[in-house]
Amino acid sequence: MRHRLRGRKLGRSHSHRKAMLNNMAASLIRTVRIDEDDPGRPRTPGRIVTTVPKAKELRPMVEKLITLAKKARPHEERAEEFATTAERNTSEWKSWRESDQWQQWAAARAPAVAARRRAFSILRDDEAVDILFDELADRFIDRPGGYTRIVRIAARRLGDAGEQALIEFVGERDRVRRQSAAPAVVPTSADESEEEPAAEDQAAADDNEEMSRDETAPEAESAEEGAVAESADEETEETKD
Amino acid sequence: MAVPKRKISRTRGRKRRSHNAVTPIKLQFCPQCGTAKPSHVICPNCGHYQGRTLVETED
Ligand SMILES: [Zn+2]
Repeated sequence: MRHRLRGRKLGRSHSHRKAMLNNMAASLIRTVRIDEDDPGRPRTPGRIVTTVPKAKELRPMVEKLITLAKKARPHEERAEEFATTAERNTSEWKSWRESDQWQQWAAARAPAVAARRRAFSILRDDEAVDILFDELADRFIDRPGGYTRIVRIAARRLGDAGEQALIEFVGERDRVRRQSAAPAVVPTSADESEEEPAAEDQAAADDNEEMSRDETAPEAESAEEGAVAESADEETEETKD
Repeated sequence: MAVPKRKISRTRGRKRRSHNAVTPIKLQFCPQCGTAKPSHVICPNCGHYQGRTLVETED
């Protein structure tokens, strides 16, 4: 039975898998900051291409790292009020270092430092930790999770024909949502617009007859409109199929 | 060494393979450029996916 078995082994031992995913997380985060002069720079910032199962395993890891970085944010901000702007090892800095201010600064910053060290223990990369805490934490500060997207790529991997996907940070190239109500009525091509008025007139006429029989004149108009809208809806539905 | 006792007849072999047929994958057409592509996949021709371009193609 494979009840309650989570995760994929990806054909690797535990240590191999852990090392690979840690490296992938660092690689993904490092693509956010691109060095323009580097000839081997990633083509698109904030994105790596891998296989679908690997991407799906990587996603929760990276998102938890971002959550960790976001949680460090308030502590860093609180430490700011005790910080100094003085250059390191100047006399002003030395007096600050010896003062009570530094004690408070260090105490306020301690949880943030601990978070950074936790992130480093996974990423093992100073630049990736910097990007994570300074750029990504700010970028996703108002977003309650869901920081990455995985999209499949048509090209299969050379060698084992593995299914490829890209995993990237959201915020750029996001999907634009259309208003679903308005465009549904719009597609009326030339041929059906010729037919439509006749059908509508017929429906309207029928309706008028009924209404006059019932002698409910004030409601007649709205009812007529409803009938027209209905017939129009029917037509568009037909054309969709 | 273990060896088959009888030849597998044409009928028997063909019966066995009657379930081996591979169905062709259903292709969808890219709404932007019309290229046939598998569904739920970024268009390999123009990089279009669900209303926006995800992969910039050089041209
Ligand atoms: Zn296309």
